Amino acid sequence: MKIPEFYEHTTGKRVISGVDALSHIPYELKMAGVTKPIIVTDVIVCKLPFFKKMLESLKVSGFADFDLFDQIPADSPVTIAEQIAIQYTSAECDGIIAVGGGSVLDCAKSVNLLVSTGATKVESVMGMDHIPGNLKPFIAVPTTSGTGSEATKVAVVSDPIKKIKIEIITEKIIPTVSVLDPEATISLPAKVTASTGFDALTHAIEALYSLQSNPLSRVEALTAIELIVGNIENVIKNPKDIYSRLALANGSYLAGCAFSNAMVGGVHAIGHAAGAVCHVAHGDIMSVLLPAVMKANLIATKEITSELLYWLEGAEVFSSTPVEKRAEKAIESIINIRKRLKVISGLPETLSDLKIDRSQFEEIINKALDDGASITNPVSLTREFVFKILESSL
Amino acid sequence: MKKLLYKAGTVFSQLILDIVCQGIDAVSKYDRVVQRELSGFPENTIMGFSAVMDGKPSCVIKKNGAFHKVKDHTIQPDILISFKSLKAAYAVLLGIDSVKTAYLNYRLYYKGDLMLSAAILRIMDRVESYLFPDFIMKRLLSMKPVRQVSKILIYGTVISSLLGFNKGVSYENT
Ligand SMILES: [Fe+2]
Repeated sequence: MKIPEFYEHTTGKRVISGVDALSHIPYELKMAGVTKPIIVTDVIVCKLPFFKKMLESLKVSGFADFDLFDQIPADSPVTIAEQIAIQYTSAECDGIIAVGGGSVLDCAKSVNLLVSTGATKVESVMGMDHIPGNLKPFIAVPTTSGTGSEATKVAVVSDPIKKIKIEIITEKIIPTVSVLDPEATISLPAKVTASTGFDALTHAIEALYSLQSNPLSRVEALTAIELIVGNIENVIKNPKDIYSRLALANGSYLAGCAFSNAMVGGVHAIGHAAGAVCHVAHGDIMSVLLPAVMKANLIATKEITSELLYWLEGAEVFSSTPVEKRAEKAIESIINIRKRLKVISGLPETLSDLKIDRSQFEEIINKALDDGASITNPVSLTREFVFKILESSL
Repeated sequence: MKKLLYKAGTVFSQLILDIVCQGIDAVSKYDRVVQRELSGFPENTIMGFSAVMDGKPSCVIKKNGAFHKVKDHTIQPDILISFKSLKAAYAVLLGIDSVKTAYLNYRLYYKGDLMLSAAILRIMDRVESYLFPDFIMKRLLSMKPVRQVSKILIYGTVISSLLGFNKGVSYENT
Protein backbone atom coordinates (compact mmCIF):
# COMPACT_ATOMS: atom_id res chain seq x y z
CA MET A 1 0.00 0.00 0.00
CA LYS A 2 0.99 3.62 -0.47
CA ILE A 3 1.73 5.51 2.76
CA PRO A 4 -0.51 8.58 2.95
CA GLU A 5 1.33 11.89 2.71
CA PHE A 6 0.12 12.69 6.22
CA TYR A 7 -2.09 10.91 8.71
CA GLU A 8 -3.10 10.71 12.35
CA HIS A 9 -4.09 7.56 14.17
CA THR A 10 -5.45 7.02 17.68
CA THR A 11 -6.48 3.69 19.16
CA GLY A 12 -8.33 2.86 22.36
CA LYS A 13 -6.35 3.13 25.53
CA ARG A 14 -7.07 -0.26 27.09
CA VAL A 15 -9.00 -3.43 26.23
CA ILE A 16 -10.00 -6.19 28.63
CA SER A 17 -11.15 -9.16 26.58
CA GLY A 18 -12.28 -12.56 27.81
CA VAL A 19 -14.57 -14.59 30.00
CA ASP A 20 -15.30 -12.71 33.24
CA ALA A 21 -13.67 -9.54 31.93
CA LEU A 22 -16.55 -7.72 33.65
CA SER A 23 -15.21 -8.84 37.03
CA HIS A 24 -12.13 -6.64 36.43
CA ILE A 25 -14.14 -3.42 36.40
CA PRO A 26 -13.63 -2.64 40.13
CA TYR A 27 -9.86 -3.00 39.63
CA GLU A 28 -9.97 -0.70 36.59
CA LEU A 29 -11.96 1.88 38.55
CA LYS A 30 -9.42 1.81 41.39
CA MET A 31 -6.52 2.18 38.95
CA ALA A 32 -8.25 5.16 37.33
CA GLY A 33 -8.78 6.79 40.72
CA VAL A 34 -12.55 6.57 40.52
CA THR A 35 -14.45 6.38 43.81
CA LYS A 36 -18.04 6.96 42.69
CA PRO A 37 -18.95 5.98 39.13
CA ILE A 38 -22.21 6.66 37.38
CA ILE A 39 -23.49 3.65 35.46
CA VAL A 40 -25.52 4.43 32.37
CA THR A 41 -27.55 1.89 30.43
CA ASP A 42 -30.99 1.19 28.94
CA VAL A 43 -34.14 -0.50 30.22
CA ILE A 44 -33.40 -3.81 28.51
CA VAL A 45 -29.76 -4.22 29.53
CA CYS A 46 -30.43 -3.38 33.16
CA LYS A 47 -32.62 -6.50 33.46
CA LEU A 48 -30.01 -8.89 32.06
CA PRO A 49 -28.26 -11.33 34.45
CA PHE A 50 -24.73 -10.18 33.54
CA PHE A 51 -25.63 -6.58 34.43
CA LYS A 52 -27.00 -7.58 37.83
CA LYS A 53 -23.84 -9.63 38.40
CA MET A 54 -21.71 -6.61 37.47
CA LEU A 55 -23.56 -4.42 39.98
CA GLU A 56 -23.03 -7.08 42.68
CA SER A 57 -19.30 -7.18 42.00
CA LEU A 58 -19.15 -3.38 42.29
CA LYS A 59 -21.04 -3.45 45.59
CA VAL A 60 -18.73 -6.00 47.19
CA SER A 61 -15.58 -4.26 45.92
CA GLY A 62 -16.05 -0.91 47.60
CA PHE A 63 -18.16 0.82 44.94
CA ALA A 64 -21.60 0.35 46.53
CA ASP A 65 -22.14 4.09 46.36
CA PHE A 66 -22.45 4.15 42.55
CA ASP A 67 -25.11 6.18 40.78
CA LEU A 68 -27.36 4.66 38.10
CA PHE A 69 -29.23 5.96 35.04
CA ASP A 70 -30.99 3.11 33.21
CA GLN A 71 -33.35 4.89 30.83
CA ILE A 72 -31.26 5.79 27.77
CA PRO A 73 -33.52 5.51 24.72
CA ALA A 74 -32.49 4.71 21.12
CA ASP A 75 -30.73 7.48 19.15
CA SER A 76 -29.23 9.00 22.35
CA PRO A 77 -31.12 12.30 22.57
CA VAL A 78 -29.05 15.27 23.76
CA THR A 79 -31.68 16.08 26.36
CA ILE A 80 -30.96 12.76 28.09
CA ALA A 81 -27.18 13.32 27.94
CA GLU A 82 -27.66 16.78 29.45
CA GLN A 83 -29.93 15.33 32.16
CA ILE A 84 -27.37 12.62 33.03
CA ALA A 85 -24.61 15.26 33.21
CA ILE A 86 -26.64 17.16 35.81
CA GLN A 87 -27.22 13.93 37.77
CA TYR A 88 -23.46 13.14 37.58
CA THR A 89 -22.49 16.53 38.94
CA SER A 90 -25.06 16.67 41.72
CA ALA A 91 -24.21 13.12 42.85
CA GLU A 92 -20.51 14.08 42.79
CA CYS A 93 -19.52 11.18 40.55
CA ASP A 94 -15.98 10.95 39.23
CA GLY A 95 -16.17 8.39 36.41
CA ILE A 96 -18.56 6.77 33.94
CA ILE A 97 -19.42 3.16 33.16
CA ALA A 98 -21.58 2.74 30.04
CA VAL A 99 -23.19 -0.62 29.36
CA GLY A 100 -25.15 -1.05 26.15
CA GLY A 101 -25.20 -0.71 22.38
CA GLY A 102 -24.15 2.26 20.26
CA SER A 103 -26.87 4.58 21.56
CA VAL A 104 -25.85 4.11 25.19
CA LEU A 105 -22.12 4.41 24.50
CA ASP A 106 -22.52 7.51 22.31
CA CYS A 107 -24.75 9.12 24.92
CA ALA A 108 -22.12 8.37 27.60
CA LYS A 109 -19.44 9.98 25.41
CA SER A 110 -21.49 13.19 25.27
CA VAL A 111 -22.05 13.04 29.03
CA ASN A 112 -18.29 12.75 29.52
CA LEU A 113 -17.72 15.78 27.30
CA LEU A 114 -20.25 17.80 29.26
CA VAL A 115 -19.04 16.90 32.74
CA SER A 116 -15.36 17.25 31.79
CA THR A 117 -15.58 20.57 29.94
CA GLY A 118 -18.28 22.15 32.08
CA ALA A 119 -20.49 22.70 29.03
CA THR A 120 -24.22 22.39 29.62
CA LYS A 121 -25.37 21.83 26.01
CA VAL A 122 -24.09 19.08 23.71
CA GLU A 123 -24.53 21.49 20.79
CA SER A 124 -21.71 23.61 22.20
CA VAL A 125 -19.16 20.80 21.94
CA MET A 126 -19.86 19.78 18.32
CA GLY A 127 -16.88 19.47 16.00
CA MET A 128 -13.73 17.54 15.10
CA ASP A 129 -10.39 17.41 16.97
CA HIS A 130 -11.34 20.52 18.92
CA ILE A 131 -11.53 19.56 22.60
CA PRO A 132 -8.54 20.49 24.79
CA GLY A 133 -7.64 18.80 28.08
CA ASN A 134 -8.53 15.39 29.44
CA LEU A 135 -11.89 13.80 30.09
CA LYS A 136 -13.12 11.73 33.05
CA PRO A 137 -12.34 8.00 33.30
CA PHE A 138 -14.81 6.14 31.09
CA ILE A 139 -15.38 2.37 30.98
CA ALA A 140 -17.39 1.01 28.05
CA VAL A 141 -19.09 -2.39 28.02
CA PRO A 142 -20.61 -3.06 24.57
CA THR A 143 -23.63 -5.36 24.52
CA THR A 144 -23.73 -5.71 20.74
CA SER A 145 -20.90 -6.58 18.37
CA GLY A 146 -21.52 -3.95 15.76
CA THR A 147 -21.26 -0.21 16.26
CA GLY A 148 -17.66 -0.36 17.52
CA SER A 149 -18.45 2.71 19.61
CA GLU A 150 -16.36 1.19 22.43
CA ALA A 151 -13.31 1.86 20.22
CA THR A 152 -14.16 5.04 18.35
CA LYS A 153 -13.59 8.75 18.67
CA VAL A 154 -17.02 9.33 17.14
CA ALA A 155 -20.31 10.03 18.91
CA VAL A 156 -23.59 10.64 17.12
CA VAL A 157 -26.48 11.92 19.20
CA SER A 158 -29.83 13.33 18.20
CA ASP A 159 -31.57 16.59 18.92
CA PRO A 160 -35.24 15.58 19.03
CA ILE A 161 -36.44 19.19 19.11
CA LYS A 162 -34.48 20.46 16.10
CA LYS A 163 -34.78 16.98 14.51
CA ILE A 164 -31.09 16.88 13.65
CA LYS A 165 -28.13 14.61 14.35
CA ILE A 166 -25.14 16.01 16.17
CA GLU A 167 -21.75 14.50 15.41
CA ILE A 168 -18.65 14.81 17.56
CA ILE A 169 -15.26 13.49 16.49
CA THR A 170 -12.44 13.71 19.00
CA GLU A 171 -9.97 11.15 20.35
CA LYS A 172 -10.75 12.49 23.82
CA ILE A 173 -14.03 10.53 23.92
CA ILE A 174 -12.47 7.14 23.24
CA PRO A 175 -13.26 5.01 26.32
CA THR A 176 -10.42 4.69 28.82
CA VAL A 177 -11.19 0.97 29.11
CA SER A 178 -13.28 -1.22 26.81
CA VAL A 179 -14.53 -4.44 28.36
CA LEU A 180 -15.23 -7.23 25.87
CA ASP A 181 -16.96 -9.97 27.84
CA PRO A 182 -18.87 -12.63 25.86
CA GLU A 183 -21.51 -12.74 28.59
CA ALA A 184 -22.55 -9.19 27.66
CA THR A 185 -23.59 -10.23 24.14
CA ILE A 186 -24.78 -13.77 24.78
CA SER A 187 -28.49 -13.00 24.93
CA LEU A 188 -28.48 -11.04 21.66
CA PRO A 189 -31.10 -12.53 19.26
CA ALA A 190 -29.87 -14.11 16.00
CA LYS A 191 -31.28 -11.39 13.73
CA VAL A 192 -29.70 -8.57 15.78
CA THR A 193 -26.39 -10.45 15.93
CA ALA A 194 -26.39 -10.79 12.13
CA SER A 195 -27.45 -7.21 11.50
CA THR A 196 -24.98 -5.61 13.93
CA GLY A 197 -22.25 -8.02 12.80
CA PHE A 198 -22.78 -6.93 9.19
CA ASP A 199 -22.49 -3.33 10.36
CA ALA A 200 -19.09 -4.17 11.88
CA LEU A 201 -18.04 -5.91 8.65
CA THR A 202 -19.07 -2.79 6.71
CA HIS A 203 -17.00 -0.59 9.05
CA ALA A 204 -13.93 -2.71 8.37
CA ILE A 205 -14.40 -2.86 4.59
CA GLU A 206 -15.19 0.83 4.20
CA ALA A 207 -12.24 1.79 6.44
CA LEU A 208 -9.98 -0.47 4.37
CA TYR A 209 -10.41 1.55 1.19
CA SER A 210 -11.46 4.93 2.60
CA LEU A 211 -9.60 8.06 1.51
CA GLN A 212 -8.39 8.32 5.12
CA SER A 213 -7.11 4.77 5.31
CA ASN A 214 -3.58 4.46 6.76
CA PRO A 215 -1.18 1.57 7.45
CA LEU A 216 -2.43 1.08 11.01
CA SER A 217 -6.15 1.26 10.23
CA ARG A 218 -5.56 -1.23 7.43
CA VAL A 219 -4.11 -3.84 9.81
CA GLU A 220 -7.04 -3.30 12.16
CA ALA A 221 -9.56 -3.58 9.33
CA LEU A 222 -8.13 -6.78 7.87
CA THR A 223 -7.94 -8.52 11.27
CA ALA A 224 -11.49 -7.37 11.97
CA ILE A 225 -12.71 -8.85 8.67
CA GLU A 226 -11.03 -12.17 9.43
CA LEU A 227 -12.60 -12.34 12.90
CA ILE A 228 -16.08 -11.26 11.82
CA VAL A 229 -16.33 -13.45 8.72
CA GLY A 230 -14.82 -16.42 10.54
CA ASN A 231 -17.28 -16.30 13.43
CA ILE A 232 -20.54 -14.58 12.56
CA GLU A 233 -22.33 -17.65 11.20
CA ASN A 234 -21.21 -19.85 14.06
CA VAL A 235 -22.47 -17.31 16.62
CA ILE A 236 -25.90 -17.39 15.01
CA LYS A 237 -26.02 -21.16 14.80
CA ASN A 238 -24.55 -21.60 18.30
CA PRO A 239 -25.50 -18.47 20.25
CA LYS A 240 -23.91 -19.77 23.46
CA ASP A 241 -20.53 -20.37 21.85
CA ILE A 242 -18.39 -18.18 24.09
CA TYR A 243 -15.32 -18.31 21.88
CA SER A 244 -17.15 -17.12 18.74
CA ARG A 245 -18.97 -14.40 20.70
CA LEU A 246 -15.65 -13.13 21.98
CA ALA A 247 -14.06 -13.28 18.52
CA LEU A 248 -16.98 -11.30 17.08
CA ALA A 249 -16.69 -8.72 19.87
CA ASN A 250 -12.97 -8.36 19.10
CA GLY A 251 -13.73 -8.07 15.37
CA SER A 252 -16.25 -5.33 16.07
CA TYR A 253 -13.78 -3.53 18.36
CA LEU A 254 -11.02 -3.66 15.73
CA ALA A 255 -13.38 -2.52 12.99
CA GLY A 256 -14.23 0.38 15.32
CA CYS A 257 -10.51 1.21 15.70
CA ALA A 258 -10.11 1.13 11.92
CA PHE A 259 -13.06 3.34 11.06
CA SER A 260 -12.47 5.68 13.98
CA ASN A 261 -9.36 6.80 12.09
CA ALA A 262 -10.06 6.02 8.44
CA MET A 263 -13.78 6.81 8.68
CA VAL A 264 -16.40 5.04 6.55
CA GLY A 265 -17.81 5.75 3.08
CA GLY A 266 -20.67 5.38 0.64
CA VAL A 267 -22.47 2.50 2.37
CA HIS A 268 -22.76 4.61 5.50
CA ALA A 269 -23.59 7.84 3.67
CA ILE A 270 -26.48 6.19 1.81
CA GLY A 271 -27.33 4.00 4.81
CA HIS A 272 -27.62 6.96 7.20
CA ALA A 273 -29.85 8.70 4.66
CA ALA A 274 -32.06 5.63 4.15
CA GLY A 275 -32.23 5.18 7.93
CA ALA A 276 -33.44 8.75 8.41
CA VAL A 277 -35.98 8.59 5.56
CA CYS A 278 -37.29 5.02 5.95
CA HIS A 279 -36.53 4.24 9.62
CA VAL A 280 -34.77 0.94 8.96
CA ALA A 281 -32.24 -0.73 11.27
CA HIS A 282 -28.69 0.51 10.59
CA GLY A 283 -27.16 -2.99 10.20
CA ASP A 284 -29.99 -4.09 7.88
CA ILE A 285 -29.39 -1.28 5.42
CA MET A 286 -25.62 -1.92 5.58
CA SER A 287 -26.30 -5.51 4.55
CA VAL A 288 -28.41 -4.39 1.59
CA LEU A 289 -26.01 -1.73 0.30
CA LEU A 290 -22.51 -3.10 0.94
CA PRO A 291 -22.03 -5.26 -2.20
CA ALA A 292 -23.52 -2.61 -4.53
CA VAL A 293 -21.27 0.15 -3.15
CA MET A 294 -18.23 -2.14 -3.30
CA LYS A 295 -19.03 -2.80 -6.99
CA ALA A 296 -19.49 0.90 -7.75
CA ASN A 297 -16.21 1.74 -5.97
CA LEU A 298 -14.19 -0.87 -7.88
CA ILE A 299 -12.98 1.78 -10.31
CA ALA A 300 -10.82 3.12 -7.46
CA THR A 301 -10.45 0.06 -5.22
CA LYS A 302 -9.71 -2.91 -7.51
CA GLU A 303 -6.34 -3.69 -5.94
CA ILE A 304 -7.37 -3.61 -2.29
CA THR A 305 -10.66 -5.43 -3.02
CA SER A 306 -8.63 -8.16 -4.76
CA GLU A 307 -6.49 -8.51 -1.62
CA LEU A 308 -9.65 -8.70 0.45
CA LEU A 309 -10.42 -12.08 -1.12
CA TYR A 310 -7.57 -13.62 0.89
CA TRP A 311 -9.14 -12.50 4.17
CA LEU A 312 -12.64 -13.53 3.13
CA GLU A 313 -11.98 -16.94 1.58
CA GLY A 314 -8.48 -17.96 2.64
CA ALA A 315 -5.24 -18.76 0.82
CA GLU A 316 -6.53 -21.60 -1.35
CA VAL A 317 -9.38 -19.72 -3.01
CA PHE A 318 -7.21 -16.60 -3.29
CA SER A 319 -4.37 -18.37 -5.09
CA SER A 320 -6.63 -20.39 -7.39
CA THR A 321 -8.51 -17.25 -8.55
CA PRO A 322 -6.96 -15.37 -11.50
CA VAL A 323 -5.65 -11.97 -10.41
CA GLU A 324 -8.12 -10.01 -12.55
CA LYS A 325 -11.10 -11.92 -11.09
CA ARG A 326 -10.19 -11.58 -7.39
CA ALA A 327 -11.99 -8.30 -6.71
CA GLU A 328 -15.28 -9.54 -8.22
CA LYS A 329 -14.87 -12.82 -6.37
CA ALA A 330 -14.42 -10.92 -3.07
CA ILE A 331 -17.72 -9.10 -3.63
CA GLU A 332 -19.35 -12.41 -4.57
CA SER A 333 -18.06 -13.81 -1.28
CA ILE A 334 -19.76 -10.98 0.67
CA ILE A 335 -22.99 -11.66 -1.22
CA ASN A 336 -22.75 -15.35 -0.32
CA ILE A 337 -22.16 -14.59 3.37
CA ARG A 338 -25.24 -12.37 3.30
CA LYS A 339 -27.25 -15.10 1.58
CA ARG A 340 -26.31 -17.64 4.24
CA LEU A 341 -27.08 -15.13 7.01
CA LYS A 342 -30.50 -14.51 5.46
CA VAL A 343 -31.29 -18.23 5.66
CA ILE A 344 -30.23 -18.60 9.30
CA SER A 345 -31.29 -15.22 10.69
CA GLY A 346 -33.51 -13.35 8.23
CA LEU A 347 -30.93 -10.66 7.37
CA PRO A 348 -32.34 -8.56 4.48
CA GLU A 349 -30.67 -8.62 1.04
CA THR A 350 -32.60 -6.03 -0.92
CA LEU A 351 -34.26 -2.65 -0.48
CA SER A 352 -37.56 -4.40 -1.18
CA ASP A 353 -36.91 -6.66 1.83
CA LEU A 354 -36.86 -3.40 3.84
CA LYS A 355 -39.96 -2.05 2.05
CA ILE A 356 -37.98 0.81 0.49
CA ASP A 357 -39.10 1.77 -3.01
CA ARG A 358 -38.19 4.22 -5.79
CA SER A 359 -40.52 6.93 -4.46
CA GLN A 360 -38.09 7.43 -1.54
CA PHE A 361 -34.93 7.60 -3.66
CA GLU A 362 -34.91 11.37 -4.21
CA GLU A 363 -34.95 12.14 -0.49
CA ILE A 364 -32.37 9.45 0.25
CA ILE A 365 -30.03 10.80 -2.47
CA ASN A 366 -30.27 14.39 -1.18
CA LYS A 367 -29.46 13.34 2.38
CA ALA A 368 -26.68 10.92 1.32
CA LEU A 369 -24.76 13.64 -0.55
CA ASP A 370 -24.69 15.78 2.58
CA ASP A 371 -23.66 12.98 4.90
CA GLY A 372 -20.18 13.31 6.36
CA ALA A 373 -19.35 9.72 5.38
CA SER A 374 -19.58 10.73 1.71
CA ILE A 375 -16.35 12.75 2.10
CA THR A 376 -14.15 9.70 2.54
CA ASN A 377 -15.62 7.37 -0.10
CA PRO A 378 -12.90 6.56 -2.66
CA VAL A 379 -15.20 7.60 -5.51
CA SER A 380 -16.91 11.01 -5.29
CA LEU A 381 -20.58 10.60 -4.46
CA THR A 382 -22.80 12.12 -7.13
CA ARG A 383 -26.56 11.88 -7.65
CA GLU A 384 -26.00 9.35 -10.48
CA PHE A 385 -23.62 7.27 -8.36
CA VAL A 386 -26.09 7.00 -5.47
CA PHE A 387 -29.05 6.40 -7.79
CA LYS A 388 -27.21 3.54 -9.52
CA ILE A 389 -26.50 1.90 -6.17
CA LEU A 390 -30.10 2.24 -4.99
CA GLU A 391 -31.45 0.88 -8.30
CA SER A 392 -29.17 -2.13 -8.19
CA SER A 393 -30.14 -2.85 -4.56
CA LEU A 394 -33.91 -2.92 -5.15
CA MET B 1 13.75 36.23 15.61
CA LYS B 2 12.02 32.90 14.93
CA LYS B 3 9.10 34.03 17.03
CA LEU B 4 8.88 37.21 15.00
CA LEU B 5 8.96 35.28 11.73
CA TYR B 6 6.21 32.98 13.00
CA LYS B 7 4.11 35.99 13.98
CA ALA B 8 4.67 37.59 10.56
CA GLY B 9 3.75 34.29 8.87
CA THR B 10 0.54 34.10 10.90
CA VAL B 11 -0.44 37.66 10.00
CA PHE B 12 0.35 37.04 6.32
CA SER B 13 -1.64 33.78 6.11
CA GLN B 14 -4.57 35.39 7.90
CA LEU B 15 -4.48 38.15 5.27
CA ILE B 16 -4.64 35.52 2.53
CA LEU B 17 -7.55 33.87 4.36
CA ASP B 18 -9.26 37.25 4.27
CA ILE B 19 -8.90 37.21 0.48
CA VAL B 20 -10.19 33.61 0.40
CA CYS B 21 -13.28 34.78 2.33
CA GLN B 22 -13.70 37.58 -0.18
CA GLY B 23 -13.50 34.86 -2.84
CA ILE B 24 -16.18 32.78 -1.09
CA ASP B 25 -18.34 35.92 -0.99
CA ALA B 26 -17.83 36.54 -4.74
CA VAL B 27 -18.30 32.91 -5.86
CA SER B 28 -21.47 32.50 -3.80
CA LYS B 29 -22.96 35.55 -5.53
CA TYR B 30 -22.61 34.04 -8.99
CA ASP B 31 -22.27 30.26 -8.78
CA ARG B 32 -25.60 28.41 -8.66
CA VAL B 33 -24.02 25.17 -7.40
CA VAL B 34 -22.66 27.01 -4.37
CA GLN B 35 -26.02 28.71 -3.89
CA ARG B 36 -27.74 25.30 -3.97
CA GLU B 37 -25.29 24.00 -1.34
CA LEU B 38 -25.99 27.07 0.78
CA SER B 39 -29.71 26.39 0.83
CA GLY B 40 -29.00 23.72 3.47
CA PHE B 41 -27.32 26.24 5.81
CA PRO B 42 -29.36 27.98 8.50
CA GLU B 43 -29.71 31.72 7.86
CA ASN B 44 -27.00 33.82 9.57
CA THR B 45 -24.58 30.90 9.90
CA ILE B 46 -21.10 32.36 10.37
CA MET B 47 -18.19 30.33 9.02
CA GLY B 48 -14.67 31.32 9.99
CA PHE B 49 -11.15 30.31 8.95
CA SER B 50 -8.14 30.68 11.15
CA ALA B 51 -4.52 30.09 10.08
CA VAL B 52 -3.46 28.95 13.54
CA MET B 53 -5.01 27.76 16.77
CA ASP B 54 -6.68 30.54 18.76
CA GLY B 55 -6.14 33.00 15.88
CA LYS B 56 -8.65 35.69 14.98
CA PRO B 57 -10.71 34.12 12.22
CA SER B 58 -11.69 35.58 8.85
CA CYS B 59 -15.42 35.01 8.51
CA VAL B 60 -18.31 34.89 6.07
CA ILE B 61 -21.98 34.94 6.98
CA LYS B 62 -24.80 33.20 5.11
CA LYS B 63 -27.55 35.68 4.33
CA ASN B 64 -30.21 35.70 1.61
CA GLY B 65 -28.79 32.74 -0.26
CA ALA B 66 -25.13 33.84 -0.39
CA PHE B 67 -22.07 34.21 1.78
CA HIS B 68 -20.98 37.72 2.72
CA LYS B 69 -17.53 38.60 4.05
CA VAL B 70 -17.70 39.80 7.65
CA LYS B 71 -15.50 42.79 8.51
CA ASP B 72 -14.96 41.96 12.17
CA HIS B 73 -12.25 39.53 13.21
CA THR B 74 -13.35 39.28 16.82
CA ILE B 75 -16.59 37.35 16.44
CA GLN B 76 -17.09 33.75 17.43
CA PRO B 77 -18.16 31.88 14.27
CA ASP B 78 -20.71 29.02 14.38
CA ILE B 79 -18.31 26.94 12.32
CA LEU B 80 -14.58 27.44 12.80
CA ILE B 81 -12.06 25.76 10.53
CA SER B 82 -8.58 26.21 11.91
CA PHE B 83 -5.27 24.74 10.75
CA LYS B 84 -3.26 22.71 13.26
CA SER B 85 -0.01 24.34 12.13
CA LEU B 86 1.13 27.29 10.08
CA LYS B 87 2.75 24.88 7.60
CA ALA B 88 -0.61 23.16 7.06
CA ALA B 89 -2.19 26.58 6.41
CA TYR B 90 0.53 27.49 3.90
CA ALA B 91 0.08 24.18 2.05
CA VAL B 92 -3.56 25.10 1.41
CA LEU B 93 -3.02 28.80 0.73
CA LEU B 94 -0.24 28.09 -1.76
CA GLY B 95 -2.32 25.50 -3.58
CA ILE B 96 -0.19 22.51 -2.53
CA ASP B 97 -3.16 20.88 -0.75
CA SER B 98 -6.88 21.47 -1.22
CA VAL B 99 -9.03 22.21 1.83
CA LYS B 100 -10.47 18.72 1.35
CA THR B 101 -7.00 17.13 1.45
CA ALA B 102 -6.15 19.09 4.60
CA TYR B 103 -9.41 17.82 6.12
CA LEU B 104 -8.73 14.21 5.07
CA ASN B 105 -5.17 14.39 6.42
CA TYR B 106 -6.40 15.71 9.78
CA ARG B 107 -4.35 18.90 9.28
CA LEU B 108 -7.15 21.12 10.47
CA TYR B 109 -9.69 21.08 13.24
CA TYR B 110 -13.32 21.95 13.00
CA LYS B 111 -15.65 23.46 15.60
CA GLY B 112 -19.38 23.41 14.96
CA ASP B 113 -21.96 21.35 13.09
CA LEU B 114 -20.17 18.50 11.30
CA MET B 115 -23.35 17.74 9.36
CA LEU B 116 -22.47 20.75 7.19
CA SER B 117 -18.89 19.58 6.56
CA ALA B 118 -19.58 17.69 3.30
CA ALA B 119 -21.28 20.75 1.80
CA ILE B 120 -18.50 23.06 3.03
CA LEU B 121 -15.81 20.92 1.41
CA ARG B 122 -17.73 20.91 -1.90
CA ILE B 123 -18.13 24.70 -1.69
CA MET B 124 -14.40 25.10 -1.03
CA ASP B 125 -13.61 22.84 -4.03
CA ARG B 126 -15.60 25.24 -6.20
CA VAL B 127 -14.13 28.37 -4.64
CA GLU B 128 -10.62 26.99 -5.21
CA SER B 129 -11.50 26.26 -8.85
CA TYR B 130 -12.17 29.98 -9.35
CA LEU B 131 -9.29 31.33 -7.29
CA PHE B 132 -6.41 29.08 -8.36
CA PRO B 133 -4.91 28.77 -11.85
CA ASP B 134 -6.02 25.72 -13.85
CA PHE B 135 -2.69 23.85 -13.61
CA ILE B 136 -3.00 23.89 -9.80
CA MET B 137 -6.66 22.87 -9.96
CA LYS B 138 -5.90 19.82 -12.09
CA ARG B 139 -3.62 18.57 -9.32
CA LEU B 140 -5.90 19.54 -6.43
CA LEU B 141 -9.26 18.17 -7.49
CA SER B 142 -10.09 14.64 -8.46
CA MET B 143 -12.88 15.93 -10.68
CA LYS B 144 -12.62 19.03 -12.85
CA PRO B 145 -15.45 21.32 -11.79
CA VAL B 146 -17.45 23.10 -14.45
CA ARG B 147 -17.27 26.84 -13.70
CA GLN B 148 -20.49 28.73 -14.25
CA VAL B 149 -19.02 32.21 -14.62
CA SER B 150 -15.62 33.41 -15.77
CA LYS B 151 -12.72 33.58 -13.35
CA ILE B 152 -12.21 37.21 -14.44
CA LEU B 153 -15.60 38.14 -13.02
CA ILE B 154 -14.66 36.55 -9.69
CA TYR B 155 -11.20 38.16 -9.65
CA GLY B 156 -12.81 41.50 -10.53
CA THR B 157 -15.32 41.21 -7.69
CA VAL B 158 -12.61 40.20 -5.20
CA ILE B 159 -10.30 43.05 -6.29
CA SER B 160 -13.06 45.65 -6.15
CA SER B 161 -13.88 44.46 -2.64
CA LEU B 162 -10.23 44.70 -1.62
CA LEU B 163 -10.09 48.21 -3.05
CA GLY B 164 -12.92 49.12 -0.76
CA PHE B 165 -15.92 49.10 -3.10
CA ASN B 166 -17.46 46.26 -1.10
CA LYS B 167 -16.31 46.41 2.49
CA GLY B 168 -18.26 43.39 3.69
CA VAL B 169 -20.93 43.37 6.35
CA SER B 170 -20.25 44.19 9.95
CA TYR B 171 -21.45 41.68 12.48
CA GLU B 172 -23.71 44.27 14.15
CA ASN B 173 -25.60 44.69 10.87
CA THR B 174 -26.38 41.01 10.63
FE1 LIG C 1 -22.21 1.55 10.98
